[in-house]
Amino acid sequence: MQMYHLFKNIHKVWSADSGTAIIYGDDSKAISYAELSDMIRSAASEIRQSGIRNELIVTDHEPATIIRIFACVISGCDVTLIDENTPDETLFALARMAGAESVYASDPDLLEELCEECGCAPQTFEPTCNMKLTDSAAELHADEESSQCSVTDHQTDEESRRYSSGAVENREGRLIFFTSGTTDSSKAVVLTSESLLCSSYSGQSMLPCGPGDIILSLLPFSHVFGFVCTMLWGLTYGATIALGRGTRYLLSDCEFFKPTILPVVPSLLRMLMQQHALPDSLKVVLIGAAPLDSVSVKALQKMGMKVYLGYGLTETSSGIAITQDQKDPFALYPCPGADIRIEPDGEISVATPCMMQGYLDFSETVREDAGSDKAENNDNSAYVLGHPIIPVQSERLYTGDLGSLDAQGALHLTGRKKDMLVLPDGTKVFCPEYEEELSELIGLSDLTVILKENRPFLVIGESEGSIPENIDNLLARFNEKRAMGLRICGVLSYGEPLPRTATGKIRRWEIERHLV
Amino acid sequence: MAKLSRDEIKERTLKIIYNCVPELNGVPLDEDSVVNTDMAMDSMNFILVICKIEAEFDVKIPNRKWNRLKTLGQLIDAIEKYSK
Repeated sequence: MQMYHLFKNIHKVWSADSGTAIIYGDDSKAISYAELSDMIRSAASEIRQSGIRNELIVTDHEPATIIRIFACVISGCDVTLIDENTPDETLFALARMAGAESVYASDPDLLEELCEECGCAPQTFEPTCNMKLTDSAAELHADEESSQCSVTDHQTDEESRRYSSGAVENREGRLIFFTSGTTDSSKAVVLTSESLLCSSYSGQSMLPCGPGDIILSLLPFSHVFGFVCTMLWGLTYGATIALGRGTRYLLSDCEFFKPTILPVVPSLLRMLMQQHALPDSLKVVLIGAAPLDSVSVKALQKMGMKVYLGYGLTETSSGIAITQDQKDPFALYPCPGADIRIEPDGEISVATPCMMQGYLDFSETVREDAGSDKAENNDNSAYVLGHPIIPVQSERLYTGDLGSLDAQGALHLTGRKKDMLVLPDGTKVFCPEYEEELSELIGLSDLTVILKENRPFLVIGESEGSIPENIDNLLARFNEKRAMGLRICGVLSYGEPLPRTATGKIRRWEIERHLV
Repeated sequence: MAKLSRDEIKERTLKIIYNCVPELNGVPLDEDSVVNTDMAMDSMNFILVICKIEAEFDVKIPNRKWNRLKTLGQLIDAIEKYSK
């Protein structure tokens, strides 16, 4: 099995492949790998000529968006990915923060709004295919050679000096993903084609796909699980990617495209199951982003599907571990090269070849003073969008997740470290356990527990109505079986539904910032 | 599909909302009622409602527009607009 290091490498392989890369739209239009390669090459050439060095791409499930992403990266242009469904306020805030030179969005209205908001150049783009199959590979080589000159042609003398090392000239653009913000505000994670392809390789080692497989892509490409597992992994190893046709067809896409593999998050999967929207063609369901309950796993297995759960973070380009054994569907086995350890406090730490370059520090910028000593003294590859990358401090990433390793070396997840409140005496309160019991007792589900003045408080959101009148009695019942320090000592109303991530996880840090 | 009156659109939309979000059964909703994730509808319920409404009325409301719809009245406006 081939491991690729650059998008350019897979792009070369695609140029001679007549297999179907992408199917999309109401009439199931198909794009072959060779056509995809040709369109990327053409777009990359335009990007090089335009001299764009970084671009914000609003991701959707249009083939043009995939082509644009690959073309940018191959031509050395850094890309920031934001999902089209991001609420306006967040979308514009992230776009302003990213401060890209240009913006690409397939929705012309959104493109105009973003450009007005951020003061950057709009990019309109129609993929073109002038493919001559037999010449594609040769043209690609010729184009890459000439492109290195054209990049330099568009740089100022100052920039040329900073780009003068061969390594920088040959580098591909980096990809910036925003984390979901479960434990903190969103962070901008800098990944590379190498780290993402490494993650694809990891996935392929544990769960192979190939020609004949159809992977249905329903998840946003701006999330690393969606990017790798619903797109890059399949394209790297010859499967066909069926691009979801949008919300209207969410329940019919499975039957329409007849996928063999469905990478999905638990909430979406449950909805598809409830609506009986999973087709007979489906052989494999790959779950990511959050754990799936055992009832759903068993139901899928009963339907004849193999269920795989993946564990990974944006910072590790997704894949760290994947389940392998259908009889033990929660035992996660480490991907190739992933070194998983359990720290003394139970936290999972990991070292992996798929590790990010670092986080972007938006508080600092060098774009305005590109000629200053500060800019000159730094390797430009340590900057994206004019902001410095905070490099990974050690080779291990502390994930914030809690888990254990069994005798076979398989990882079992037990919770989030941030879901644990540590009392002044060191006693730990595991929030999900409290939340489950309190939810059952009080009859509300939009609640959580936080620490205020070093004591546990119950916080209730307003999505389900008011706090019950007998709350004191209910809490007394909850508290009577607990030691003094572990008792809930008050109720706080959040005033609105509790803030959650897209996968439903409570953003406790945001609640604490608001109430404590 | 024959052009529907606003009342017909409202009636069918409410039927979908009540079907998709059983928790709302018995809760009266008028055109000023908030019918997005700000009320008792989680993101998956909301997506299911979008999916069913677009299929029911044979419309495709751009995802960006859905994010900006808050009330039942705005939702009916959008269905009328994109049905044309």
